Amino acid sequence: MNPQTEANKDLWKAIYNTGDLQHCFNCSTCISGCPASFGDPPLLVRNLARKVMYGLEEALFEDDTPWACVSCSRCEEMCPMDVKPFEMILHIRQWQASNDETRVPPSIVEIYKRGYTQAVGTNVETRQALGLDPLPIITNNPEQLAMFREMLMKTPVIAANDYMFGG
Amino acid sequence: MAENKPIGTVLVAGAGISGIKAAIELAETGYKVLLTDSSTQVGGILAKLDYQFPSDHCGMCRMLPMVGREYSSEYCMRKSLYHENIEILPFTEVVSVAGDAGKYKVELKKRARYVNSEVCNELGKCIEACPVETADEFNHGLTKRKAIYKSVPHNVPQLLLIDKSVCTECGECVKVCSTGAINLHAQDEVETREVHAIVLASGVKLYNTKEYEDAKSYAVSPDVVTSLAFERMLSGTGTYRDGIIKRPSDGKPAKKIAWIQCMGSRNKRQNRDYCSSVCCMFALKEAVLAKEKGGDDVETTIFYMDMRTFGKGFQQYRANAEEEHGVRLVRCRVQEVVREPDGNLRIRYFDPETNEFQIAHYDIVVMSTGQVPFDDHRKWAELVNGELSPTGLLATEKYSKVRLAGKQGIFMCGSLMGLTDISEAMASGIAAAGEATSFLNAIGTDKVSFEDIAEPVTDDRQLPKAAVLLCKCGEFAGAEGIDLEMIKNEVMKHRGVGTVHVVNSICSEEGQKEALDVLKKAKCNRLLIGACQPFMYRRKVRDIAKKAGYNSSLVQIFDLLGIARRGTEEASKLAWTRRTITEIKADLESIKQKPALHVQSVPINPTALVVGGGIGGMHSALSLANRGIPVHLVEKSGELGGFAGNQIAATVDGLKPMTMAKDLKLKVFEHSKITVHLNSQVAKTQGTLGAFESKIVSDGNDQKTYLHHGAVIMATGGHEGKTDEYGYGQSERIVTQFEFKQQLESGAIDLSTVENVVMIQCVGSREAGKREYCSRICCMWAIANALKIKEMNPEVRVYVLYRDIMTYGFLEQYYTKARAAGVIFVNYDLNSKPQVEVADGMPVMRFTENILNTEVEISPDYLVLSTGVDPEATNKELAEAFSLPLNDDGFFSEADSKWRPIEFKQIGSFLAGAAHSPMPLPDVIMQAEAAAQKAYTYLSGGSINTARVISTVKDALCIRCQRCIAACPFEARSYNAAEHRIEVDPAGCQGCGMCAVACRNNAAEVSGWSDKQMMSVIDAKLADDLQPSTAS
Repeated sequence: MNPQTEANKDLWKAIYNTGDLQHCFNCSTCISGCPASFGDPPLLVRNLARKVMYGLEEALFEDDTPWACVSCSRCEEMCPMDVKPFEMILHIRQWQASNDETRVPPSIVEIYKRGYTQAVGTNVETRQALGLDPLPIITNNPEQLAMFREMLMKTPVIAANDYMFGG
Repeated sequence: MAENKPIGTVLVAGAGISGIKAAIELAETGYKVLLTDSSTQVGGILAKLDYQFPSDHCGMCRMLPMVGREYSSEYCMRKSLYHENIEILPFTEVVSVAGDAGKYKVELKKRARYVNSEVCNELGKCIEACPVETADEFNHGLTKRKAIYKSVPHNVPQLLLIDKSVCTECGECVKVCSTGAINLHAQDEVETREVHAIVLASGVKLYNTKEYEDAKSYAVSPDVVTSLAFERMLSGTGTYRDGIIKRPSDGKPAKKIAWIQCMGSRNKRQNRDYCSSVCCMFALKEAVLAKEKGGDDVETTIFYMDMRTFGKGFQQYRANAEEEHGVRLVRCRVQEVVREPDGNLRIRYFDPETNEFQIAHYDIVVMSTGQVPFDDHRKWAELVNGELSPTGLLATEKYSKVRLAGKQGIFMCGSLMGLTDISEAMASGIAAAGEATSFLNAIGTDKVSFEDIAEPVTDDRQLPKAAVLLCKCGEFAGAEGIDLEMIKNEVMKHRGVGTVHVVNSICSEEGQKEALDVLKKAKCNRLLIGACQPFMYRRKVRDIAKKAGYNSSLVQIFDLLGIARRGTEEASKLAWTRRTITEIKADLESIKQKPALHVQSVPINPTALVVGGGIGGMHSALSLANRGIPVHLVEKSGELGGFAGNQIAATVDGLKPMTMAKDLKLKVFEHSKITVHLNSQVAKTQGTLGAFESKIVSDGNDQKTYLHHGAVIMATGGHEGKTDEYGYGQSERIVTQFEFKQQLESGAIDLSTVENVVMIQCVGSREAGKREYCSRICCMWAIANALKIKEMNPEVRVYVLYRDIMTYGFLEQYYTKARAAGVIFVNYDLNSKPQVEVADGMPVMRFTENILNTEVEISPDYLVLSTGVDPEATNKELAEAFSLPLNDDGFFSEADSKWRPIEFKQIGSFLAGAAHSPMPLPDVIMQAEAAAQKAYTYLSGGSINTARVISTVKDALCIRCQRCIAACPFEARSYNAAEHRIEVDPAGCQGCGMCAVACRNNAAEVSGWSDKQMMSVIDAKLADDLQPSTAS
């Protein structure tokens, strides 16, 4: 990577102009407990912040992981430098979407396929050990899943790209 | 004296180690000290720490004065502190401060203990009787205590107290107390005292994981503890027993332990954008100890952001912890600790080594908690009407870390300045005492003077005959005490005893008068005194002995209550009495065989030599000269000021070293007590303690001068290091931080044409075979230059390639500021150093971007190298000339890296500033002040009594192997080639006995500790042949 030729050093102004991002010192707090960091590819908030700081426009534009965020806001709660990483993710999504109106994030396909962006329903043993009931997930209930998909098909972004959803 | 000047009195508020150090320094100088502490004991945080790095032992006693130890009555600082000039007031708060400089009225609130410690015999029956149990805060709740308790388990004497917040006032303790020491209705007492100066040393509040929100996702189990609590888990008076580090929840041996750094610190969101400075070393030490105490199979992991090993020897300790002890360091701040159903603690982290997430389970997680200083500073600002800085800390005078801004006669030291390690606590305590001494001197107060009783001339050939005095304190001779009559009768029968006499209260004046009469009549030549807490009035007892014609070295003080304190369970009156008799007999054997030791008094030339005319050297010289000490200031160059004073116009924190140096130079040249020797070097020094002669060579050998002095301060400074790495020398665009700073300031660099600047930290530093230490100031230099660039042209991209950013303390805010300005910090490690080539005269670089895990190529307009700080090359010659030690890095080696940072083992030799290690200017000035204070106390004494217990050489047995010379930690032994014998410098020897241990032929012996004598003591202890009582 050559930041002299590949980077737009003012990218942060276009994406997340609050000045909070600059405080990041790459401590990894945001990623170490992030539920979306279990995904494949993982959501690595820290790395997104780094890409914005360097101004790696192209790489960031192609990056779909911001859409894997489940909005749990833990990074926001725990970030010692008050970067407000969750805000940053929303801003990256906005920037990506507003620069490409036809963009269909893969997470929407995930939601369509299994009802969630993330693989929930894991942690079966831990739930058992703690005496909790198994999580009722929608893929175990075909009737509801069909209703759910029908409903999603009515949203503009899916209706316009129904070929991606087996429609 | 005749003018009736008042004795200078100083309030030292806070009896942690820095406060104790300040108090001892002042007391040794001859001033009176009121030493208060709001807690129930003295010692502060250190009372809880059994082990300190780098030795991983306790070494608190090393902060005690090295000269005249026999009068100071102190031996173990963990047990307690005694000094006749120090009045210790624990459990006492400063409620108000009124008055003006030099005439402060302080209101002190002594909180009620409900146990009168003057009457209490510490037998602890009350503790057994007390039905109330509660968590023991000394052990951080890991153990229980009663409502009536001993606040520190290892203190002597024990000061018991009642915790009224849990006491039910059932009165059980009052019933069993035989001395009537307990008063459940005692009240707090307020008294007003007048003092001339005040030293604030109250330490700092620590981050409390129960109080703050952001600790909640970590403190999920009793097995998640703070670093201070973990210290108690390693302590024998804590929960470390049977060689097991016990997991608090179930007592299971802990085998996997993790540390989480920066708990509460470096957190801008919580308004704590500072580093707590000490936690990195604390965690490293705890991890090493955990392995030593818990067994080799203990796994230790430290989760950190930057490992801040900025102090002297810190980097080497880290390397050793990693390489020798296998302590694992993971650069990742974890988000949470999860308690698994089986009780284990789960941590998920991103491993930068593998670039993958890992999950690990631990038995114990230690939170490295730091400081929360603002409340303490606000409190003091209100009390003394002091100024607060914009950060919310007590403002100090510019360049000074210890003088409060605008407040004459008020100083601070220790962790109140920001959490300090032991060495900085010591240096700041001495510096605060130095400033206070200068102040007391200036306002014209007097010092305490002692009646100097000459040692009587005694005849060493007389057969030993001992007088025994036993103190009859009504309390312990009571129903459960010992039988003094029986002791008297039995001891009288012992061979070599001339008289046994029971005195009523030897601590009182009448008791002392009675003792003097008895001794005069007894015509003995040895004295054994049995009393309670005898260490409290050792000087008094020796003075009485001298007055009665006894050699004061032949006085043995026996702690009559000692056996009781050691807690004999079978304590029937008879058993006790018998043990006491045996112990007294053993002590009698010891003094019977002891040769009389005669004090030598060596006069001191009250002149100081300061080597190095930088800012530190000039400060030391002025500080001494202002107190009337003549000073020779020797500078090798033609100009005073040194590196900072001649080359650095301004620092990032607003200091102006060149302006300051100019001002100091004027004062130095104008001062009638200071003689400046420019273009001069010390070629040779000879002489003995207190009277040195140094040969000064000036103007390139043309001129030779001989200076006479009693003390020397090494203030030789340092300079920016050199390098041939990273293309330095091949391009004018590859420069050092200092060169870059100069070019920026002179306008030689046109930033409007510059697009990229890359800086590399730790060039040739913290690396085996190179500068193996951290130079401490380079991170700040880089940040200052980076901020300057951004200020002049925000469009320039600045990359700082670093290994660990060392912005400790409130310097952290500059690091934050630099990032906020858009400076990009990229971490690298020694395995993937940045690559630099020079093409067309310009640097071309490759480095690894550690977060994105990609290679970066860049052609910066400037490559700036942080090349560290080198010691002065002349240190080597000076070390030889003065016989002072250098460390492997070429800096001078102080007597003890923690407890005696300002002095050498060689008495009368001190050091300050970069002669010690690289440090920022305010620290140089603090050390310079501390060195001046140490020299002042030493020189103003006029003469020095050589240590009494010194080692000797039996020439007939000595084989001249010189092992003892190598073993002597005080370099008091030397080989005299002309006479072919080993010699002992009587003033240098501290009687530690290392030579006697090292000697294979019993030729080295410490007087008063001969083998014959020790054998007699052992025989006496074993021959407990006392028949069941024939006495009353």
